[in-house]
Amino acid sequence: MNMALAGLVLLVIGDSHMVSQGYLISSLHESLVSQQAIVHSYGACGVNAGDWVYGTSGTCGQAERHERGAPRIDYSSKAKGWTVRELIERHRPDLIVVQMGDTMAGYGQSTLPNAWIYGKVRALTTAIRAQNVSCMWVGPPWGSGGRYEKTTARVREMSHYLSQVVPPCTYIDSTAFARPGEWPTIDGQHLTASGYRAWGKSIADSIVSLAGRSQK
Amino acid sequence: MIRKKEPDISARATIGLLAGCAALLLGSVPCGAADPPRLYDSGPARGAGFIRIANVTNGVVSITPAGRARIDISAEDALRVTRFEALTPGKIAASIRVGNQTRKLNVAIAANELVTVAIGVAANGSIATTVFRETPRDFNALRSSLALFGADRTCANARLVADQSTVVIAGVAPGSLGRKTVNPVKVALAVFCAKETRGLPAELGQLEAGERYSVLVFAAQGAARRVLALRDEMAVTRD
Repeated sequence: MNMALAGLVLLVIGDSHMVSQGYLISSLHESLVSQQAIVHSYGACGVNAGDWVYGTSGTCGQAERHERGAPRIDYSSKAKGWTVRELIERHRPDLIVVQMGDTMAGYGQSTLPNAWIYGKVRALTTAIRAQNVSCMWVGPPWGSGGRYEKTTARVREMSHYLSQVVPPCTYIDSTAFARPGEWPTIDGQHLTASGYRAWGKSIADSIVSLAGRSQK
Repeated sequence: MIRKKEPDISARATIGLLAGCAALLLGSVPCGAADPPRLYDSGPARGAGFIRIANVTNGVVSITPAGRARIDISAEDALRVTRFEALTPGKIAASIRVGNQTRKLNVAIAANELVTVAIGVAANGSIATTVFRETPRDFNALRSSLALFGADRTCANARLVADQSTVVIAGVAPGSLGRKTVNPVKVALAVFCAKETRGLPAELGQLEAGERYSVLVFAAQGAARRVLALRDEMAVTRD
């Protein structure tokens, strides 16, 4: 085991990919815990980056998980949301991992809503920078079709765009982990259990590698 | 202990569709094998455009968008230019009042378009509007973006010059704008018109990475030409 994350407090925030059992709140969280990190994960279904600044209101569910505990998942519409500021104050993380992209990419629309995305992303990166915490940003994985109308071309465009606009967060490009279609989805967007296992492990490996590099 | 398995995100959408189908069947409406509905949008549902107002008069400009409350925009430099407000692309209508003058404003805004409406007073005393449009593709968190807006009809071929000699943006005609991505450095900027050799300083100081800036050259009624430099801001919204 690489000791790059040992003892570090990690705060992971994300969207619907973090909200169900077997999704990233299982695979990514457990992969990071296995690296001896102290991990606090939060997911809010359907939120965009700006919602983490102004307050999430997971209209289709939210989840949280702490260290070696089990995920607590709440699908009620009355669940109280979070802001990144209150989570930073609560956990004092050494590193924030933001998993965000699909809720902003404009799937089904003719153009990427780039100005709108920029406003949302800047709001979150500015809030994180104001708290003087390092961050990494995980972009969307491949997917296509289904009710979310995700396409390979838009994922590629969104991933490239995020790499330009998320600094000072370090960008983790999920499209580099697999070929388009290699990880099957259940609805064009959310992966199968094996896909989430592979995605979570790939993200964790990248975080370990990047953290190790920054410590040298 | 046996834990009851929770349905995942996708299963919950399917349950919602089935409930909807049941309701439709009761009403004798066919329910096919369509995908269940999305649980959430990906980005703004109908796209987003942005608009801001620049007051280039000597007094207060009042804007009353159709169906909304009046907004008063001060002529103080810190308040002359509003934040960009996000809205659904389409046509917007508003009434403008400056002193005793009024006029209608009708603007169409496209998806991803950033529109700046400069409101001034013409030589004959009527309200003059200039609409500046840009659809930027230069968003970058490691660079800075500078724009020069030609809101003074008498300033031909406007240029934004750095450190007295480096032309950053050139050839901006009245009613148009130029934009350029630059490194985030501390720089002394000035605006020159036509063949003038003396520029007007544009005070921005240290440029910050990821930020976007606007420099407006304008002349309020009866006043000398001047320059206003500011950082572009987007209004805080939950949409």
